[in-house]
Amino acid sequence: MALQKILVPYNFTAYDQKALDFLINTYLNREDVQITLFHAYTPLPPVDFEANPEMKKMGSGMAFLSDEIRRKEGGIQFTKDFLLESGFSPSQVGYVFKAKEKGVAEEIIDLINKGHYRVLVLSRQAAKVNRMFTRSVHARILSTLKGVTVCIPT
Amino acid sequence: MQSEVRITINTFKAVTKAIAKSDNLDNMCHHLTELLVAALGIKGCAVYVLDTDTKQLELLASFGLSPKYLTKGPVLAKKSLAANLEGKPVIVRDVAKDDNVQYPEQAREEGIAAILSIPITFLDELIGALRLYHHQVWDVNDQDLDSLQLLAENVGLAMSYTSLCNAVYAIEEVIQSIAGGRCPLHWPPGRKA
Repeated sequence: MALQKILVPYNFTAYDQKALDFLINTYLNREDVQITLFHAYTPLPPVDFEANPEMKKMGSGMAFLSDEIRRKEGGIQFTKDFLLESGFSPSQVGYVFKAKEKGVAEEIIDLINKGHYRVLVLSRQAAKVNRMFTRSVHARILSTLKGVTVCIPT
Repeated sequence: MQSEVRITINTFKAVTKAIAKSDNLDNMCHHLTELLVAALGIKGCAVYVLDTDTKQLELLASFGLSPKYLTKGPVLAKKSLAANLEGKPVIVRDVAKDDNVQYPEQAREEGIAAILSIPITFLDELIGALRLYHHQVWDVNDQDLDSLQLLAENVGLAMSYTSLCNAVYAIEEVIQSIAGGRCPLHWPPGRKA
């Protein structure tokens, strides 16, 4: 049986929890699935913290940004463990945690194309006014992908 | 007594440059919240956009605040630091002694002692709010307040520009779907293909 690769963008929201529930309800006990959780974090701001004493002082306060990124990676690991505890096997669940190099939609599309994913589980999208300013991730993904099943648990 | 000036000209330059280098509004607002938390030594920061239909504030970016606090419930502009609706900043120097806060109990649980809310406007219209959260009672320095208002104005400009760009991209997508990709759009200047 062909392996079904499933990509699950995860952003630590209540909607993402619904995506996990959907995975468990739909794919648990199926041996032909492989799940990848995905989170792209905003990289650290491009600031020269060595430029002057004030910036050095500010830079010392930036250490917690790295801590925050580590906490997020811990959160993704925790989510992976949650899926394992729910019954998936270790060989079925992995994650990709990386710095955002482009828009979220483009990151997801790239990963799907490079990883040959067949199913994408998207969470509900951001609130409506946000989309005016940040463009709809869903719209960009849906208008670009071909031959991929997209599930949106509501 | 006011706190010392935290946003000096060097800090202001660094923050402005960093957000100007961000290639999308999402990154820009994330960097702004991160840098303001570092510069001011505060607990957290968030950028909200205003839904003019429902008068609710929607979260655009945040740093230093827990998911539990961020999902505490709808943030209603009229109940939550209402003076922002008139374009004025609101300073809640002590959350425990102020009735202006919509979710005081959740703020206390989060470890927030003071909140500063700066309106984000464009052409005198309120389009969002920049909110800063301190873990201790906060007497905001006047110069810092001025700097934050300037930054909020820049954010307002960027938000308006981005929504205009997005409208153009949406039109472009329709044109491309009709023209089969034979009609490339060379706008805005410097846009990556």
